[in-house]
Amino acid sequence: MTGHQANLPMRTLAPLVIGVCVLCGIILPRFLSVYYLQVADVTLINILLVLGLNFILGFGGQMSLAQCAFFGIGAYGFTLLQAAGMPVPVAAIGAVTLSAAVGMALGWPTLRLKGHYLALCTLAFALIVERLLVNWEGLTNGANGITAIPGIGLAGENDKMLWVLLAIVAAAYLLQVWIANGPLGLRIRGLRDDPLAAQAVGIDISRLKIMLFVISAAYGGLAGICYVLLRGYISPDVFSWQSTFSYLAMAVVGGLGSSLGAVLGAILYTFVPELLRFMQEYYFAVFGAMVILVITFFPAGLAGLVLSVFRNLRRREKSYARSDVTRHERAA
Amino acid sequence: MLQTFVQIVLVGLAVGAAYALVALGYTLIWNAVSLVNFAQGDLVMLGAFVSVGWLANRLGMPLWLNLVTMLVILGLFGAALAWGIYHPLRNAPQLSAIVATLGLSMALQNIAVIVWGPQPLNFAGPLGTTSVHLFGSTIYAQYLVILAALAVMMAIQHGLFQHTALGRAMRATAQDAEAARLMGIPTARIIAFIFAYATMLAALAGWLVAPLSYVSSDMGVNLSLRAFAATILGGFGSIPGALVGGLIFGVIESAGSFYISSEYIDVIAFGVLIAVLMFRPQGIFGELELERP
Repeated sequence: MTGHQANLPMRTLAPLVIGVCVLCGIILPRFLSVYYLQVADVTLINILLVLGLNFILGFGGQMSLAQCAFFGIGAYGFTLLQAAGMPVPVAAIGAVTLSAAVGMALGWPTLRLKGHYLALCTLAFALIVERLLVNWEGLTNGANGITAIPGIGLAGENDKMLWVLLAIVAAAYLLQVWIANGPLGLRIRGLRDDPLAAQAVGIDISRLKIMLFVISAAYGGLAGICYVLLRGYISPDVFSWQSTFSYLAMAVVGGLGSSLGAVLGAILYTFVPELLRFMQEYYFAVFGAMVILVITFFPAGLAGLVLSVFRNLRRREKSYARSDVTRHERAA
Repeated sequence: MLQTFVQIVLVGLAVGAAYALVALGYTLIWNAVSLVNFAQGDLVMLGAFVSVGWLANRLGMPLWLNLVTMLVILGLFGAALAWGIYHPLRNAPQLSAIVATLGLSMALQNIAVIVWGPQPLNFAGPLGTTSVHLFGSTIYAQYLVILAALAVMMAIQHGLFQHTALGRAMRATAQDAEAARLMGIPTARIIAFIFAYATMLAALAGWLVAPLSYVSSDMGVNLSLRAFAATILGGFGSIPGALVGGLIFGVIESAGSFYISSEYIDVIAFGVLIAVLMFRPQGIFGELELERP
């Protein structure tokens, strides 16, 4: 299920990803209305969030449900730092650092927790952050949120923001693949597949877990900044604890432990509800049923589906490699 | 002083009893098939809507017949879930199955809005707004009804699990489904029965809390989060844990909102929860899993 990207070396993948992004940047504004362009922008932000979740959940196997909290901390951190008079790059770096630091503060005391216990603890943390955003009115202006945030002056300009977001997502994607395919990625997957064995061969799994929290929190914080830049206003309901389940669903529907899966999951989960709007009041019921069906038929997620299609095409070319590939697939 | 204390504890226990009923559903399903059913809270909502929206408002059934009919309908629905949702997913990875239950939750909430409309419904329940006086404090009688219902359900459950062939089969299936099947237990049917029973517990919770608030499509969301918290606090997979965890969590909430701050009630309750897990990472009744190579 993992390491699909290992098939493509970085020198092939990097131009490919950049090419796809440039193509999207040129094509999407021509074909999409202003509304759908904004959906595309939100999709890119969701991709960023799910890539972050993928680090800790997909590669690391740690059940974190706090991604929406880091999203919120990044967004509010950036907004408040900018309001305090800091220039944009400083505020951005400060917000990502803040988010990563909170990630560390959450990761360290939860080291002993596993599985559902960690899931609940991180979910409780997400709920606490949401309640603080709502109730700490002196800092966050409460449920009304904060409006007219200057950002980089591109709020509401969906076509220009598309380029900004594409650049950020491309960089984030390549960074994830680079980490996942390197020695660090091996260690992270070792932690997921057999923590005891990983420990036995000298991997400091505590440090690794905290690092996973930090890096996925940093991705979440970055997504929060992107959201502020895109919208120009924020309110706590965007970062509600329930929204964390959407990111979980995106990661699983796309395919856990696969960067491509994070992208596909976020696209499906953000775009399809918009396409189903013609069903009016039925559309969420239909969408819920679709999620169930996708998972029933493709338990390995969409990335697994796409990659097996590609493999089948390749298999037809060189059928002698067949038995080996299928055995690998079964093992996955 | 004493009066308010008694009041706080009773209200906390009653609210906690509702959490416990939902939490027991999580635990039973988890023990039987290793699935965390995140749609459990929406079964609470469904129970309340069927009872109030259909049986009470449409058919005007008397209350006790209403309760029994609703439990039968929801029990059948639970069995259908076992067959329609769990069965196709039984070999899927755990997280995928969890996300499927999230999809189910989304669909159920939406369907409830379509069937019963977006307006919340009112439900007087058996007692309306009757209050009782206890140790000098005044509380809604409905709170006592909830506590009594939990006690009755626990007695029934104990009898069912310990003293009937069906209960033995359910426990055997939960312990080791494969071995149970080899012993001739029809595990598929038993699992459907466990789903039906867990759904009835959730629906009963919905019927019990409905008079204290409104019946709305999102009423299950908060309840299911707190019930999940209760299962973790008590120790995941432990039946006494779910029970005690629910009651304790209810009292923490009620005491925290009275003595500290009602605005920050969630921050307090879930903060306490995280703090407890720091010191007891396996919950109150949970067993620490020893890792062997």
